[in-house]
Amino acid sequence: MKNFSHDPDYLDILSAWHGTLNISPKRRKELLDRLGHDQSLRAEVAEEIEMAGLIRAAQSGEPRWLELEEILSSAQESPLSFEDRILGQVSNKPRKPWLALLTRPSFAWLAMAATLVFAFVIPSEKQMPDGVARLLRYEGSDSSVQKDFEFRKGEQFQFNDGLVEVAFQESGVHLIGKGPLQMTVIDHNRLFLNEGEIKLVVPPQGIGFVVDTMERKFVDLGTSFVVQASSLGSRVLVLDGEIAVGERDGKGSRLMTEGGLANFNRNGEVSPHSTRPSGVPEVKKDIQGTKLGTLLGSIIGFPKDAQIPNPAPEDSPISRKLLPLVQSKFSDLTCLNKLKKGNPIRFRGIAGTYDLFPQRTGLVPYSENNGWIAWYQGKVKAPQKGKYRFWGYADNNLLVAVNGEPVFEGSRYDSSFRTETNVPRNNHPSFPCLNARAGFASGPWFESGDTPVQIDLLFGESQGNKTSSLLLIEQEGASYDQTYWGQPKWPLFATEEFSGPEKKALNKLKTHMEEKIMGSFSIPEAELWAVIQ
Amino acid sequence: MQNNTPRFDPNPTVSQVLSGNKDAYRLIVSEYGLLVRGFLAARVYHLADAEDLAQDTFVKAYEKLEDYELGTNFRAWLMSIAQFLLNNHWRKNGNRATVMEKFRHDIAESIQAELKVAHEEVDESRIPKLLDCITKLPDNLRKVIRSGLDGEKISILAKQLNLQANAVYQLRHRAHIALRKCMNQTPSPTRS
Repeated sequence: MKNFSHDPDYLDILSAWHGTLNISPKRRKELLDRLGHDQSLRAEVAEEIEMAGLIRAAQSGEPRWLELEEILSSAQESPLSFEDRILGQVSNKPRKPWLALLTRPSFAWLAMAATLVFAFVIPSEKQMPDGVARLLRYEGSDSSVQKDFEFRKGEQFQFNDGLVEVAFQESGVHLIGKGPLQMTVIDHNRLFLNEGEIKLVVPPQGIGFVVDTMERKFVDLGTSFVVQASSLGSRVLVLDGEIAVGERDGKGSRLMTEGGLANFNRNGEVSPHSTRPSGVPEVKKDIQGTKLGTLLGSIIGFPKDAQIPNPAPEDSPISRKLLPLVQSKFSDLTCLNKLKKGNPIRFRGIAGTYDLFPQRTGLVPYSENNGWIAWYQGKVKAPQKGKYRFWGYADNNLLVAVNGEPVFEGSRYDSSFRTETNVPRNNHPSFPCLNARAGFASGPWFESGDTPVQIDLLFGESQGNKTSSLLLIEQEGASYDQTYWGQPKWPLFATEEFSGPEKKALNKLKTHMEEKIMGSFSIPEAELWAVIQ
Repeated sequence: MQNNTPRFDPNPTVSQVLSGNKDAYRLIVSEYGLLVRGFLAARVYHLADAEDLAQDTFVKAYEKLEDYELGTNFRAWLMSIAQFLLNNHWRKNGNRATVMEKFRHDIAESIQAELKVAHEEVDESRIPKLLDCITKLPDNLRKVIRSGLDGEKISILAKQLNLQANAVYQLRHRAHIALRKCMNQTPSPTRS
């Protein structure tokens, strides 16, 4: 029997199968041709793939199949669900024509269900046990919100502005709500969110806590998550741990884990977190010129007629091309030969969308399919002596080096900066950012003292012209404002003050992030780094 | 290799489910879960998609259980549902597939007959021994097997072991041979 373990075709097929190798069209054809006429290779690949699948499944642990579990549990003598209790109560009442709606498995009944809670599920005031949750704090101007308000089962609660903090007494669930908000506390383990945004932190004893919206029910499995509801639909973001998302008709439970973000419209359709930066504003900044005291750079790309060997669909030719520059601590410039340069540019922070950057910086015409990189370099000095670290991400390439050593790599998965440089990197999917599913990345701390440091900053696109990025910096020990769901608003890394129009555009981006994608940042003032000539 | 493992007969369980004991279906899921998940995990790149399809397979099988003809090959019937859902998955995702995803699909197409044979050779009664057999592998092979199988992890593992990615696949090939041998040799645990 032939030993295939040294057969390069066999190994390339396995590499391609498992996603570690991008193969040229010619090579793909060769491999498929070989498979077509070599029965023993086909058998060997099949055995290997079958075994690999079995091992993947065995090692991934027991799955939690909530949909199946719901179906099988329905056969047990389990307590009636919230919906069943509502319907049960309704069916015992003299039926009015409009109540017939509730017998249909549609979304519509739930809208009414929340308002029917009082009438059919919740015992009368006299029979009611003690409250199930207590309002701990309110920051806002709505005078209708009472301090130490105690929520009883079925209590409806609403306010117009500000923040509330609520603790559920038995489950220990902690809720922060942002006004305007309207919700109904069903019991110690469930609430219905009509409108507004809530963040929940669920301790172990609260696992199973349910948030209902018109479109979905969200079941906590030990986590922290944010739910928004409005007349247009609902949205959930998992900050930590795991939740189960069930459809209102009881079908299609799905698990969502840390960093997961999904929208549900009123028709029950799901639109998962976009992988493209659609809608992220482009911040217009003054990037031209070479005036003193600014961090300078240039934009680089392949000439329009460049031939790239072995182009692959998920590849970043420009980051691969510039690897020797990074690996030589920015001393070996030979890799720049034959590349095209645009106009000199000034570093004005990195934030937002850069779809037109090559046009605005004189790189066009260039080989658009092979990407571009802006390389900024110079000596900079920290605003204060101390330890710093970078936060951010890029679609696609982002790398920062201090004194030649990379200290931050925030590129997308297909960048050679990410796959080939081994820069320590932490992903924070609970801090979502624009279109990065991995969330914000952070680098290791580095020292910056009284002596200026050499900084090299590479940022750009791999293929095409959909580019977005954010680069922030944190000083160890400094305190930063936080979004109410707990994300610090680190300042943009910048070396120049922003003008009024630039601040306006950046604030627009910040508002977009906070309202649409739950990220944020701050515009630096005292945190500006000085450029040393 | 002779197999003395007592085989699970699904027919009495299916009868129980059909007569109203839905809870008995859990035994079906338990017996065939890893087989179905392994089948799909071998053919679908993202494990989460494979797990979703596996759940869908058992849900669909539950819904269609009355269509199963008692006494016939339950495993083949169940796997035909998995294959049907897999085909749907490919069809739905075909337009969005990247070049490499299409290439993987082309590979799967060209070895479809061999994959079928390879899957049929998997003895479901011996699958539970897989994890035990992994623990018996030599250290380097066990590390390769346990490192996971997605692309990024292979490249990280290659760096950790100071090997090329292809060398990791060679090691894994050896590990798979050892695992197959172990699964066929190790006495099966007595079914309780």
